[in-house]
Amino acid sequence: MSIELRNVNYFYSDNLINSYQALDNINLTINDGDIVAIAGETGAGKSTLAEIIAGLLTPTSGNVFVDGANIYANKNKNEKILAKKAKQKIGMVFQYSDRQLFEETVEKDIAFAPKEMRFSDEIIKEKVSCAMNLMGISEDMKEAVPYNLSGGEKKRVAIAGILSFSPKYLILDEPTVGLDAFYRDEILKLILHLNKKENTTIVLISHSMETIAEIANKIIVMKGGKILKHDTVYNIFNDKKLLNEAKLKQPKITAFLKKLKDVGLNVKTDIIKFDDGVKNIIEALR
Amino acid sequence: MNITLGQYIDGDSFLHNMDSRVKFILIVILIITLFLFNIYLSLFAYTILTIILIYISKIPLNSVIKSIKPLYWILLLTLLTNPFFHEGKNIFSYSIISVTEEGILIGITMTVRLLLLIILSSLLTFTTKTIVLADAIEDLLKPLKYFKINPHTIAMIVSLGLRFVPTTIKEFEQIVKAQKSRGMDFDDGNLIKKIKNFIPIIFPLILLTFKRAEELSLAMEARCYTENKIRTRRKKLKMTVIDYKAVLFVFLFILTLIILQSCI
Repeated sequence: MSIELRNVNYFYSDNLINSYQALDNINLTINDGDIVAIAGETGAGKSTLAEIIAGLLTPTSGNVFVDGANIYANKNKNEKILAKKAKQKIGMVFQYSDRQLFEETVEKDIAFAPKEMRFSDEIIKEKVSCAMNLMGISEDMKEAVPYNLSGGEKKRVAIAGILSFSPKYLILDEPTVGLDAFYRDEILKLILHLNKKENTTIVLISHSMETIAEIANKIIVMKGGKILKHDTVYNIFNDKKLLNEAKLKQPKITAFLKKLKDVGLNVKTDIIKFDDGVKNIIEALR
Repeated sequence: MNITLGQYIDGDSFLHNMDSRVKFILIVILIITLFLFNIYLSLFAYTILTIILIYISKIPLNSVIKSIKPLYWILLLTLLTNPFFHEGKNIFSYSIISVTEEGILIGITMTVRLLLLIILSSLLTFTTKTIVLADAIEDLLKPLKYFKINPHTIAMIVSLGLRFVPTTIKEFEQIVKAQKSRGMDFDDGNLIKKIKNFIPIIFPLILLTFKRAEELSLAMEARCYTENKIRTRRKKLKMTVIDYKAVLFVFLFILTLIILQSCI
C-alpha cells in the first residue's frame, strides 16, 4: 500500500494575467513505512506537493491514489465516500499552529479531529490521552487556553491534534521550526517512534539538512516544480552536482569530515548522520 | 477563492497614466449619473463607453469577467425579482403573483446598471496602484481638516485595509486547509452543522488578524511613524493634458445626455 501520484500538475492563478505552474508533471510513489523528506529551495513547490498529497489541494490535472483509492475522485457518491475514507488516513501538520487552534481548551482542541470523524466518546478519550502522552502534554495543561501557550507548546498541541486520529500517513511542514532545542529532539524522536512502532509513513518538509539526515530514509529533491531526484538519503547527500543544482547542502557533519580528511585525518567522507560521524572520528583518532 | 477586489494590473494606457484623483472623481461622477438618467439611450451610451474604456485600458477581458463573478448572484436576483414588484401592464398573473412589462424592463435596466457599476469601479482599481489611490483619497479628503479629522489617517486606514485583503484571503485558505486536514467536511451535514463549521475558521482568523495588526503597528512605530506629522510624497500627483482631456470628454458626454433627455 502506498501513496501514488500520476502526472500531477498544479497551476496557481493568483495573478489575473499570468498563472504560475507550481508543479510540473509529478510522478511519485511513496512506499509504506518510509520517512520521506521533501527538500528544495523556497518556491520549488514543496508545500504545494505536500498539500496535494494530503488531499487538501485539488491538482489541476493528474491523480493521487492513497492505498489504491483516488482521493480527488468526485464522479459518483461511491467514489466520493471512498475518497473521503482515504483522506482520513492522512494527517497534515502545518507550519503555523495558530491557524489550527481554536477551541477553548487544549483537550477539546485535540479532540476536534476524532470528533469530526465520528469516533465513539470512549475511543475519543483514549485517542486524546494517547496523543497527549506522545507529545508530552501534561495533565495540568489540559484545561489551558491554547492561545495563551508559548509557541513551542502550541506546536505540540497542534501536532497532538493530528495524532489524535492516528493517521496512517503523516505529513509535516517544517515541524521543528520555532521549537526549543529540547522539543526539537523530542519531536524527531517521536517521528521515529511513530514510524517504527505504529508503522506510520512520514512525509516531511524541512530546510534543515541535519534534520533530514537524522531521520529520513529517502529524499525528494525538488526544483522549479519538478522532482529532480527521489532516492535514498545516502545517495542524495553524496551527489554534489545534484545538491548544487537544487541549492541544497551536505549535512554539517559531512562537511566537517571532509575538512578533517583534507588535513590528513583518515575518516570517511560519505557519512551523513551525526552520531556515525562522531564514531568515525573517534575511531580515526585511536 | 478568486477575489479581484483592489487588484492592480500593470500597464501603460490612457487610464493608467491619468492623475488618480481625476480618475477617481470622474468614475464616481459616471457611476452617479449612470443611475440618474432614465432613458434607454443613455444606458446604451454608458455601455458603449464602458466597452471603450475596457478596450483602451488594455485590461484582459478575462479579469473584467472575474471581477463580476462574486456579485453574480446579486445581479441574477435583481434581474429575476424586479418583474414581480412593479405595477404596470400585466403580462402574466397567477393569484397574487403578477409579472409586468415595466417590471421586466426595470429589472433589465437595473442589472445593466449594476453590471456597469461593478466594471467601472474595478477599472479604477485595475488601473490604479493602491498606494496612489490612497494618496488620491487623502487629497480629496483634505476639506475634512476643518472638522479636525486628519485625512492622512483615513487614507492610511484605507490603504492598509486594501493591502491586507489578499493576505487575509490567503490566511483564510490556509486555516480552511488546516481544519480540513483534521477531518472537517464542508459539504457535510445540515444548515446548523454548516454554520457551526465556520467557528474553527473564523476564530483563528480574527485572532490572527488582531495579532497582525499589533505587529504592524509596532513595525510602523519602529520606523518612527506618527499620525500627526506632515509628510511629503515621493511621487506627487500632478494633472496633465490627458486629465484635462478626460474631464472635458466626461463633461461633454454628460451634457449631451442631459440635452437628449430633455428633448425626448
